[in-house]
Amino acid sequence: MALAGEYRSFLHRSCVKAADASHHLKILKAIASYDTAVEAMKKSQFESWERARQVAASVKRDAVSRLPELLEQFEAKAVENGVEVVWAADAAEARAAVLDIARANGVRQAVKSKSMTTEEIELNEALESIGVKIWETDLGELIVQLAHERPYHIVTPAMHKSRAEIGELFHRTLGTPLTDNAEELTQAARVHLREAFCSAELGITGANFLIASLGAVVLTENEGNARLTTACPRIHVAVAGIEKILPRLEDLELFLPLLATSGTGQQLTCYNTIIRGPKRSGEPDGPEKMYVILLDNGRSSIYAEEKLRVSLTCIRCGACLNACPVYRLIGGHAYNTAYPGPIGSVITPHLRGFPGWQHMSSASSLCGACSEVCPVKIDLHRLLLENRWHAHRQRTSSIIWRLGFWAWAAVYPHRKCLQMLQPFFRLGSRLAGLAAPRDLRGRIPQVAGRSFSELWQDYERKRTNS
Amino acid sequence: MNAREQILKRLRRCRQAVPDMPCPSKEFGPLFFHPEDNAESRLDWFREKFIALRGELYEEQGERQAAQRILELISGLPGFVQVQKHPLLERLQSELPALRERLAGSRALDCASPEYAQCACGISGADSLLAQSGSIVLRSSAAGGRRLSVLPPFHIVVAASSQLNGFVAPWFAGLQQDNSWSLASIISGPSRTADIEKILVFGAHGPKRLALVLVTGS
Repeated sequence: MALAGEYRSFLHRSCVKAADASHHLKILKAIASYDTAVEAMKKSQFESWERARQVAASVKRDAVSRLPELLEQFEAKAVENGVEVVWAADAAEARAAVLDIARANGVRQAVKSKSMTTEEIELNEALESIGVKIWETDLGELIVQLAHERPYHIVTPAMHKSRAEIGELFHRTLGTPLTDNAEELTQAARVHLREAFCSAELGITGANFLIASLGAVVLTENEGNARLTTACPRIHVAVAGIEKILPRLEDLELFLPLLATSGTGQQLTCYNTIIRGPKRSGEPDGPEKMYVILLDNGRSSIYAEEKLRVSLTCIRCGACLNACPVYRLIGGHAYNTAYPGPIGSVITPHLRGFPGWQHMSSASSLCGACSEVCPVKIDLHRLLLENRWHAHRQRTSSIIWRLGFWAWAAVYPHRKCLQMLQPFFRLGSRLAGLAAPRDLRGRIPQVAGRSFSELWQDYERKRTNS
Repeated sequence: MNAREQILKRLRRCRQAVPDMPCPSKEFGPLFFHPEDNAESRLDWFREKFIALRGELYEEQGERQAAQRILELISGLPGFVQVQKHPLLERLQSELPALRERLAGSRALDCASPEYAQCACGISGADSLLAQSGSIVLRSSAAGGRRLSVLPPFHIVVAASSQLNGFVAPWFAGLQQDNSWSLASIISGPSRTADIEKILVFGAHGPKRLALVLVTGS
């Protein structure tokens, strides 16, 4: 059964990672350095971070509310700019669109800058299947591509790899002299990809924002690989989720610093690039053709749900991943999805179907740390509860789960019922204590011999007697 | 029904069925700490931010000194230097014939040509400088295209101190009115990455060095 399969392997991977101390150490170190940078940047840049969040949440919620109008506006402007806009209802359509473009233009090599939507639609495999060589150009993405892994984190794809591991990987796959020096490894990637940038016919990017008023795609990055991806090849394809829309260019004045602060603790990332079409007449270089693929792939189902619609305002900064105690413990690969962590747990069941993925709604301690750090104030932990409720209503949750809650709802409101069942609870806790693994034995809390209400009645009786 | 109609129809239907999300504070005034509204404060901010981003800042009195500085910066470089056609850069070259001579050989090479990958340094003018973040902004149509500012390992930008702005708002206004560009970029320091153990390394894929020659005074 698919349901149990994905759930069971999730539990398995989680257990393995949770017990892996060296993994834990690497992640904590990376997140600690992230935390320090982010806290400092919030204080030094924003007069009030809280107010900035409120405004950002309002702007983005307004944009998502007006999604159909803004998408049409974006499309009209983009077409005016000479961009070809392709709509894709699901991942298969998006892949087919890119493959068609590649075939029609005789593409043999493609360079790709970091993009989560292309991970979502599993584009690399599709391109390779028609014989197109595809190069990941973001350093972190290159590392996971060479290691045949998924990105570990939506902002820091190779967070789980140490310098030494990367050095060994580069030595094995690129023939780089063995080193664990970050500077030398970065230089090796630069040299390795330079040739690819200059010879590839197709450049693929995502989009951090789509500007409706201008029909423009906005890319934010540090390395310059997105700049090169959109400067050298003769075709540029941007794959963008439909929710990436912002109404006006001016909105970037807030959203670029907001994304940089929450994403990496920078005031602005090194390159923030606004692209509105292929090379214009009078410009010396740039792609001859530009395509924007507007990807739905389940987003319109989220749009249909009143309470979940707000999850479309996410700007993919990754702050909720870093803050989540569950993510920190089990890591990004345990989820086995393009989007891990709290935001991934909220949207994945809607993107890929509840039957296989609803277990993600429970991959949370509901502590609310994710909601607290979200720069657009998405109440992520409440949305996880909403997903559980959704699964219950859709009857995709397991029979035991539903039966258990039915029984709980029947018994819990009535004191007398609870009283009657108390011996069973006591017996249950004792059995659990006996069945527990050795190192937990004696640490399973036991149901008390007498309940609080019994003790209280005794106390009252004694008081009135005396 | 094609995908476009299918998606839009669905969204429109849901737009009617589900109430809009509340958005109480859409208009934003100043949310950031920012320089005061005078040239001195803007220059102080810019200097501090740009240098913190590891940009190399050369403040030069007048165009002749600026031209000399550029000549000095490129004199030891291997390979050719590409310079963008730009009024300020033209003036600097008239000011200093030695600079024009040094640049003469390279001017011919089109940056769309494959040999362009061997370019040692790109020199361009800026649209504007942003004091609040220490950034240089440019657009493809006025900055010699897309590659000049990102493919060579060294990028030199020339700007006059009168081009110093607070933050992006005035630049955005200009971008919207101009129809000649296809790409506009806010550049904050030389290319960098921290993808390996969060260790900051400069010169990931873009320029390793970013120098700004700021022409002050007359």
